[in-house]
Amino acid sequence: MSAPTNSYNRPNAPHVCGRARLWQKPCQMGPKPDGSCGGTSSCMPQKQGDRWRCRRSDALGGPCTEGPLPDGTCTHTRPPCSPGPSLRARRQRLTTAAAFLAIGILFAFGMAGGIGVDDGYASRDPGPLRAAHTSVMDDKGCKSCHAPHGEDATGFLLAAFSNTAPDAVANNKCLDCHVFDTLNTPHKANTCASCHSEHQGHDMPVSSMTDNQCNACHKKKVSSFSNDHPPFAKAYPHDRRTTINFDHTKHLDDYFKDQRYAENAPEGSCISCHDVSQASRAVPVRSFDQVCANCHVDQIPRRDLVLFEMPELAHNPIDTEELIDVCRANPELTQESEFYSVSTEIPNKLATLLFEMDANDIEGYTPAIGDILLQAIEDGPTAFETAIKDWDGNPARLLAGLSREVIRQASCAWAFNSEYDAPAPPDHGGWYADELSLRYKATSHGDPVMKAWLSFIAQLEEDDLTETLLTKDGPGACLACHAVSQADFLNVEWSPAPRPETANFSYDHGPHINLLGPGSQCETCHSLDKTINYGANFTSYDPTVYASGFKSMTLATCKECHGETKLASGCQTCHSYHGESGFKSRQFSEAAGDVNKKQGE
Amino acid sequence: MTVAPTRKRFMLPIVIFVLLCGGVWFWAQNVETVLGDPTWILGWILTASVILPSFFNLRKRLIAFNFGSASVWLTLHVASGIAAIILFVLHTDGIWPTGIYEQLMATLFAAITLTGLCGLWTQLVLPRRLTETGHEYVYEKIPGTVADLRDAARQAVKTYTEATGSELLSHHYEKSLDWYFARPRFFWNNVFGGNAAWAWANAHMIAIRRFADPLQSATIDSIENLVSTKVVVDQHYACQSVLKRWLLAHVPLSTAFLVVVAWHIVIVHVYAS
Repeated sequence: MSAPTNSYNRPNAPHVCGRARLWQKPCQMGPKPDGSCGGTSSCMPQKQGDRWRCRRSDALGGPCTEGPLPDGTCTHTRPPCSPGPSLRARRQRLTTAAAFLAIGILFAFGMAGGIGVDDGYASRDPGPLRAAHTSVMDDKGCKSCHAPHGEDATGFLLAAFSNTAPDAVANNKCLDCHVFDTLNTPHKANTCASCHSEHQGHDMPVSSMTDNQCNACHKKKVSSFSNDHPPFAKAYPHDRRTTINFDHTKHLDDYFKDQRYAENAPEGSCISCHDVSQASRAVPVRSFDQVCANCHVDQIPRRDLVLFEMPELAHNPIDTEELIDVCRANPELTQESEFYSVSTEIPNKLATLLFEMDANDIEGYTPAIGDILLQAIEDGPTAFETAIKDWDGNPARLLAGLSREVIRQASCAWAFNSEYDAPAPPDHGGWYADELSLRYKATSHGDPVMKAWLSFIAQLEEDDLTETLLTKDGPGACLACHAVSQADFLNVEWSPAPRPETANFSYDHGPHINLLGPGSQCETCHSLDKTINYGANFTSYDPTVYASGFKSMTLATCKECHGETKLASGCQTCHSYHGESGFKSRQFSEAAGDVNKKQGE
Repeated sequence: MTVAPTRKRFMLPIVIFVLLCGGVWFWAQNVETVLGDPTWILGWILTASVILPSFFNLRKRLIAFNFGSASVWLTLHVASGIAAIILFVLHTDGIWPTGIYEQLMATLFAAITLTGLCGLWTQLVLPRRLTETGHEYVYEKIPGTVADLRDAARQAVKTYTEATGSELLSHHYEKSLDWYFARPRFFWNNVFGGNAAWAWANAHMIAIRRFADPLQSATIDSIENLVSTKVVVDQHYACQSVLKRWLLAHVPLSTAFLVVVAWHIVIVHVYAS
């Protein structure tokens, strides 16, 4: 391509001929560098001596015959065209515009203006937080989690060189609200963001772990629940006896079928006693009134607690003449005669312990009994209150409802060596006195005074008392069902004992019951072991030495559904990484305090 | 069926880069398995895979930066660009972002990917098609060529009319050939390899020959040659236009994307490093 026939066309040229853009023949010279038309004449004549010489190219026919005009301009002229930008130039313009547009958008949406967004953080905000986190950010905004930086550009950029991550080890903002057992757990991830990413929308679910992540650390690799899961413990899930001495086998097979009790037996199976509507980790038993009272409610008021029983005295320890007015007694009762004690009993064990008497030393305890009676006549229950306090008891709870008049009248009678002419025992229970004793009759199941006394007696851990009162024949018949167990101390188990928390494990009865139908398949997992005498478990105070009335569960039971089926059978189905977790209560109390403060203002 | 040399040139680097991405994916899985966070390293690898193609532009612009041939750079550009798609998915966990600027970034990346894949298709398909025409036309000279063909066609029609005294060919030229020679036609059909231009040309030439004076067959032959040449010129124009103009979208989008990427790097280091 020789120079005379080569046109101006170059890909790098910034402009193209306007005629070419209209699909006409472009001029040879092309646009000028400034973008104006360079083809208004066929050539640029050259002056040689005193003459102008035509320089039209060969491609256009060579030098013309007319030659240049006298002033040196070309004879052949035509109107100018409108050159346009070349492709390269257009690409450069678009590239520059795109860069500035991107900068402009970033600048507009947050770096300065915050156009169209309320918080002005749009170009710094990688996205909305989860709904739960949004609600706790309050007025702090980003500073709730991110370390603040300087307001100016320098401070902003300097922050890039410091550790500002919300979950930085040195200053983990997540732990301002979230609580984990970070000391006793073997699960110690470096950062929260390893699993929990934020700024991905209000409804973004919390990340869940995979089985591979569990197997990465655990020595025992479990490829699937049905193949490699270690067997359950031998007695699983029974690791201690229940707090109620309830023999399922005897009740279901004997009592409920006995014609004497059949009409009181609950209708249905397990769910007549267990409340499946409350099913979660356990399926709680319905209340005593709902499931036990039909048969057992009459046993409660039959056995009274005897607080004080007038014992046989060696002599009259009281100067009764001084009590004639106080007790409004017959003066004839004070006449001296040979003393025959109205009672022939020894002091009852509870009073013996409270007042620290020797029941076999009649000469020793007779003055003490006299003092008790005198104090009871003058101050009512004070004598007992003092003794209870000496044993670290709570007289307000233990003596709740004890009438000062009842104790005074009975004590007067006993002081004059007479039997107390007592009214009929109260129908609905409570404190009362009979001829020679001060008693408490339980009003109903869960009677607080009776429970307080039995708990107090257990707390004393005196063999004489526990062997006589903390038995199934004891007061209120409470311990016919409620177990007495020795853990750190002896106690009566009034409430169901929750199974000890198993770290990183959870089980919910609810979905299983809902899936299988209430009560329809309880026996699938909980099969009775009818060879066990469950009541024998309660002869000891140790709740862990026992034989369950149900057969142990095995993996096979679970595998029936969670084996090679579509049902979930991964590690996370039952196990969780964090185990027990929660929120710091102070976070909410502080928030509440702020609200209260604002309301006050 | 043999693989074209251009495709073969791209194949091996792409396979290598995809395998490297597989290795990165495997590494990231292992890190996540032990509860580590591969996001940062994935982010920097992704950044490198995005920056590397940009050097191809420098290679073309800067005389001093003449390391390696342009074809090698193009190959690296294509391979690392495809790797960037995989790395982007790994870096984001396949989740579409929800923040404004991150959505802008993701949208730009998607647009770059789309235009890039279109560009790759043009690089693989259109040059071969142009070679198959058997002619070469400089893109910038095509307007002049079209004008020359148009002038020649008009001259042939004029010759025919003067020789026969018939206005048959001149009327036909006004109704159809004038439209055809005015500028390149059948653009998208030529881009996608269609034969609409040839079909149109054959139909009109058959019609001319049916009614033309047999004694003027030489003139008719010359017009037919001009029409055939125009078909090839149109093919060149369409294919070369696409080969050049897809960059009008790809390059500006890439530039905007790099700006937002730079902002993203600053932001994550300020707030999350």
